[in-house]
Amino acid sequence: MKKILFKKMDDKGSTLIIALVMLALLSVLGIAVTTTSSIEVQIAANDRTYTHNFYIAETALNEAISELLNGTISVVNNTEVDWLKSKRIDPAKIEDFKTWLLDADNHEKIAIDMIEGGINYKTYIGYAAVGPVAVEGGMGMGLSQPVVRTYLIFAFYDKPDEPNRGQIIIDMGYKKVGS
Amino acid sequence: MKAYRPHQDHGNKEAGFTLIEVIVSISILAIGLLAMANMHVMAIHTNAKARRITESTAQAQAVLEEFMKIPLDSPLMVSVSDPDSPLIPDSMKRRGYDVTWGVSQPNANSRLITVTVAWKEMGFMTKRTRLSYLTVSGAADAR
Repeated sequence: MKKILFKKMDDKGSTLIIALVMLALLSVLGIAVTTTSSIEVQIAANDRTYTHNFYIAETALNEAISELLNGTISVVNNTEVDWLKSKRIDPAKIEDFKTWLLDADNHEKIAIDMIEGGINYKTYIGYAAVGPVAVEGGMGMGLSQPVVRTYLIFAFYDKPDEPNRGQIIIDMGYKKVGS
Repeated sequence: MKAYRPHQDHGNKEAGFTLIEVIVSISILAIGLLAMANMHVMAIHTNAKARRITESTAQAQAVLEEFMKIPLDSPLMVSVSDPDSPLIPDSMKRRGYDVTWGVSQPNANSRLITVTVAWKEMGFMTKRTRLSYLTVSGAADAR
């Protein structure tokens, strides 16, 4: 009985089946390659958006430094805000920090127009300065050293109509020498 | 007396179908492979596109970083479309990208620099990567 079954199982029609199976495998490979390269383009475009927004956010940082140098900036003196512990941002409180920074009461928008491609980016970027978080130098033991104040500056790029695309937050420590 | 005919097999009724089958299989496979080859060519083009986006971003970034080093009153702080400008690093000069920049003055103490890197996609579509940066007098020296 078994022998008869085996006899009937010959190779008729196998060429087409093998060809179709190969084709299916190659299709899977081809689709994988196409998907990978289209994702590659998205990665590259995202990186470009990020770089673009980063430099725009850095503009706010520059203005913050300049304002700090001129002494015309309004700084937040309260370093006891709950997201800021021991002068560093607590990673667990990063969402609180973002909410705090993006609140219009806590940051300042830049004053200079920054127009590129017909868009004025000045409405999307801003900064906040916190400090001084540390004061060094000054009078002591009869030696007078220049006073060094350390500030924390946060700059951001945030376009509300595309919230998940290229939002940037830059933080920087800044030491100001002198009064 | 029965003649000896070695190539005639009356037992197998489907003898001779194998050739047709092979031809059909090969043609199906060939059509499929052609489509696949097309897919791969497309993938290569897409990858090249991604590479150009990444490279152009890096080049625009390199020029922008050069600008951060120079003071506001530097003679280099002008709009230029010169491919031999000293602000374009040598490694970028023979890459098929067109690097230009514009410098404007929002006010006396600041300069807005916009670096544009342009290239041709598929020989005719002009694509651009543009980065902008604003320097404020004093801030650059303080950093």
